[in-house]
Amino acid sequence: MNKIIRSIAIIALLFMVTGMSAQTNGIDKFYEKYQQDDRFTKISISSKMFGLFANFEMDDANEKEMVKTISKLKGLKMLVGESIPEAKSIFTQAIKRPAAEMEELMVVQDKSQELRFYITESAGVISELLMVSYSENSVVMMSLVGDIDLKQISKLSKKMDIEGFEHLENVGK
Amino acid sequence: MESKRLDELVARFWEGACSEAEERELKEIVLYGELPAKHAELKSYMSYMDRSKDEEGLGDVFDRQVLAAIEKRENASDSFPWMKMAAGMALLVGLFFTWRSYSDPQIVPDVQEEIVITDTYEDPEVAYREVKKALMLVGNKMNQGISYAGGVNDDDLDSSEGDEDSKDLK
Repeated sequence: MNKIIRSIAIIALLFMVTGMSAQTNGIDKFYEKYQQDDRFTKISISSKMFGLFANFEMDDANEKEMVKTISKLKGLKMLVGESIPEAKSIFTQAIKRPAAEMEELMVVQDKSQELRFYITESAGVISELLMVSYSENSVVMMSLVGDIDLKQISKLSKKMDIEGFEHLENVGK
Repeated sequence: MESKRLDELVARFWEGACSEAEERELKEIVLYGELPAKHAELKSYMSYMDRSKDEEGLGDVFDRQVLAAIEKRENASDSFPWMKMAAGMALLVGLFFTWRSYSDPQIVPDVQEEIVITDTYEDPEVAYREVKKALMLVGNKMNQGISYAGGVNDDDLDSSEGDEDSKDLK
């Protein structure tokens, strides 16, 4: 009898896991919407790709930490729009869903720019992080899923040299 | 033994009128003695009876074997539900994977789409660099926000949201 219960639980768990992976993350809607829009740079990294990162051999201690942190992630989607006059309205649209469904972690705001972090957290583990920001004519949406160690990310970004942000560097300045 | 007495005994035997002693006597003759050909029928009858008697008395060993066989089958039927369950499990697992493969076509175009969008990221190293950049951006913005929130707190300026939220950062 116990075995039956156990197997049912395992099957239920399997369904739950796949259900979870099927869950759309915060910027999927926008990702699709601006698919054909050339003003947007789209970055999408699959869990398969994240799986490959774990094998990276790094010499630097910080890089090693970075690989460790990144390997725990399951997906990254990013939408970066430049020369977008309606940046603010896109931003306002973009935060509607996360504002209702996720936990607000941080808001940094002044007259011409705003940046928000939203997280989905359970039992102290952050499983999704959404960053939405706009400034003047640019807008950035980033969604991270997986086991997100924010403390480590914050620490590492302090430690490591930040260079070559390319299209990202002027965001939010 | 005179053949007369023998004839008489045989006749009584066929009538079923033999006593036990007489029957034993007859049997002895049949088994060990010389039996006239006219009584061949009696011999075959008796040996038939003997054989069937043997078959009737199957003995304890036989009984035990039969019982053991029965018990074994009972045990087998005990484990039968597990077989059923295993089959059920196999069915469920099969259904699950079928369902997965049906929902896969929806995932597959998505993946291809990703590859189309992120052409350069077929190389894991490039992808890694991009992820790193993205994480650095997140970390940077967060650190910036925390320090900003601290500043707001001190100076008691307009936005207090950052202040309130920064404590969530563990």
